[in-house]
Amino acid sequence: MNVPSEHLLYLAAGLFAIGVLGFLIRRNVIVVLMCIELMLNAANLTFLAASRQHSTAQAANLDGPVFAIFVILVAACEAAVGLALIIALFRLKQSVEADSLSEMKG
Amino acid sequence: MNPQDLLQLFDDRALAAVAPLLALAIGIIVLLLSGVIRAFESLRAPIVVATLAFTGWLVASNFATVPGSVIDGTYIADRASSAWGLLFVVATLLAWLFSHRYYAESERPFQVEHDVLMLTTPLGMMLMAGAANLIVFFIGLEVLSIPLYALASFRRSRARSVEAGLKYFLLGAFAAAFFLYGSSLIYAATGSLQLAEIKAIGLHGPLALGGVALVMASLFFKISVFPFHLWVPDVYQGSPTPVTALMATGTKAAAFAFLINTMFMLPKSAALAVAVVALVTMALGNLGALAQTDVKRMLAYSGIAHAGTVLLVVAGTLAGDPESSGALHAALFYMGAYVFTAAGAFGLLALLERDGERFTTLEALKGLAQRRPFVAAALTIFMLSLGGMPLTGGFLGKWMVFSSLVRAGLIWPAVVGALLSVIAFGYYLRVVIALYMQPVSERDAALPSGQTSAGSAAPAAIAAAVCAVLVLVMGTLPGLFLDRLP
Amino acid sequence: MAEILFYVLSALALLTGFGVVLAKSPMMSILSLLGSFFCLAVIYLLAGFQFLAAAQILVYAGAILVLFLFVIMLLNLGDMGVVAERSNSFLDSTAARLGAALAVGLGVIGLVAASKAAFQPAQAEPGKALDGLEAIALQLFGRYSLAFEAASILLLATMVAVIALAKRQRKSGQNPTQNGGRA
Repeated sequence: MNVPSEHLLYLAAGLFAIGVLGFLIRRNVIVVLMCIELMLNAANLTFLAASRQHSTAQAANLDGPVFAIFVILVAACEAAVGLALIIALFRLKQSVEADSLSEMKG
Repeated sequence: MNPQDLLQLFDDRALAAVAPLLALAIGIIVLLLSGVIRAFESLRAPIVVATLAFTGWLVASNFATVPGSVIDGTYIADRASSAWGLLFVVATLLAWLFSHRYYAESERPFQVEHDVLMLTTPLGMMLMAGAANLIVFFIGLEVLSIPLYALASFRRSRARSVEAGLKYFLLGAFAAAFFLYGSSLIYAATGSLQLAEIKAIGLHGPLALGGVALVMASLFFKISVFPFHLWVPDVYQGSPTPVTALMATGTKAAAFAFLINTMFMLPKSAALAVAVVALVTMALGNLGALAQTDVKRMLAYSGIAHAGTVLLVVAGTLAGDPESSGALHAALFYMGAYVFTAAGAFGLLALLERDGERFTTLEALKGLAQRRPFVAAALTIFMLSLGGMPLTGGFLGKWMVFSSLVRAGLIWPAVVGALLSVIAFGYYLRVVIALYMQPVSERDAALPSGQTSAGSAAPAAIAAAVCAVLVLVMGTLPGLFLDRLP
Repeated sequence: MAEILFYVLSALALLTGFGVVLAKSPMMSILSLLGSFFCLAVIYLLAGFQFLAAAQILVYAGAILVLFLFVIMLLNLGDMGVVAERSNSFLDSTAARLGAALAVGLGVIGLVAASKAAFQPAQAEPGKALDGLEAIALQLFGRYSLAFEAASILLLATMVAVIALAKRQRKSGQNPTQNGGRA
């Protein structure tokens, strides 16, 4: 594929912005969590694009792919804990809307 | 690298450097196993204490021998990271002691899980403080954060606790995504994740600067600096109080440790901007605290103000503080004093909190000096130290921060910061006045004196007493600590 | 050919990304996210990252998103979101407008930064995997062995955390479903 690495970065920036947008405007906590996954994927894509950019025919720069593997691992952990928290919220409030997160004010 | 070379990564130096991490990991696994076997129930507390004590000893020996940069330069065990490590171990131990007998009977079945999660957090903090590579830092950040998300909502039958945990989780994951995207941009600009290599290559151009901005935003979230401080009051108030103590002290110290290591990423011209952010943080924290009637929430706002104060040392270094390790010393001493003070203060609140939130309001503290004079005296010491009263550790920490600013030539931020610290006295003194000078409110007078649980709360009481003594020692005999700074 | 495929997939990934944000029901969001991840996996493959492409599908799409789907089904949220959400009028509130502005700003920063990157054309040999398994393994067990080991503790902590958060407490004399709500 002869696409310049910048174009991969553009795609990543777009995905990241969509993720931020969703995080800020959606009220459903599960969808908010999905938007975080989208942001993590934007980071992964940037890591891979940068790794491709900094690799030469002789030596591949593998820091990017390795970080991407760790990101996938952490995404799994975050999803598990986040969904467990959402279940805990649902048991108390029968809702997963962010509006139900308003016990404390001031 | 060839497969044969892998073993050479783990020479004696490397093993010494990671020994504290290994000790914690083994302690975590043993504790988890002890949870399975009913006969070992009485061994759980000794396991936690022994693990932390042994880890502390290993960290202290690293402080003396200094293994240095190990495992292909991804982790550093020098005097600074060892000093931070000791602080993390102490903060965890304090938080754990305060959690002893804190939870209601219905929450006890998960006590092992609670202790395992609490024991995991210092491992993450040490990875953060010693990280010389962005991957190691990120894994450390998650090893710290994920247990804290669960601990914050540990009292899952209470809406406030679950809300605190979920808010902390959503914003924490958001900040982690910022960190990742930021570091991916830095990697795109430099082609490396090693801090030393990034420093050597230098961060120029929009790609690198955008990355630095995002990474700093996520760090500012962790240390709760304007404009990323809005989550703090809710999360601190809703979490179980011992967990709040851990979040306020340990997390903040770990994020500051990494921030000091990555200050080089910020351009020199950012000094004034950082100073302004720090001062705004102090102002917002103090103003927020003035308006609170709940002491736990007030301490959360005060934590924001303190984070702003420590951030001033970053501005000082960027502006050219001639003392190269001035920022590190000031941050270490300040956070050291803050760990004992804030952990002690939150711990006393946990001690008083027999049933729900009754004791965290200012109203409920009225006249406490007559009922529990020792608790009131200790709380007074903590409040005065948080306010920066001379002869307490808090004063000296502030003095070191402001003198770093003055050395760097940032006179007006130092003056404004000092003034803001004086304003802060307003709300700390309000607590002291409530303790000593106001009569017990009628509603509380009829209640028993709160001594019912004093016997079983002995570990927490002793921990609070040790904190109070240490705060005074740090203020009166600072040489003990200052001479040993890295 | 591969170039055209890349641009088509990019457009699809962005469209499905918007789908996640705009879909009214969480079920549609998760399916959109799945589509987006599949597009990304093919893009990884095109860019020369075969292992990551596999991991993206196996772990991300296969495990993580199924977990999401499982929870949505468990809590029976399939169409609940439609009623409660003000999805159609989300740009009405100030917070949403600020959020949109921030997101657009961040996107522009990313785009401008990327356009100023001044990269040389990538030199890696086309067609050859950039993330050979052996090379990745050497990194994981070499330079990043500490992070790798710490990750195992992270997984352990996650398991313990999830158990502490979600396990049902059974007390004698109590209806076991009482704690679980509708779950």
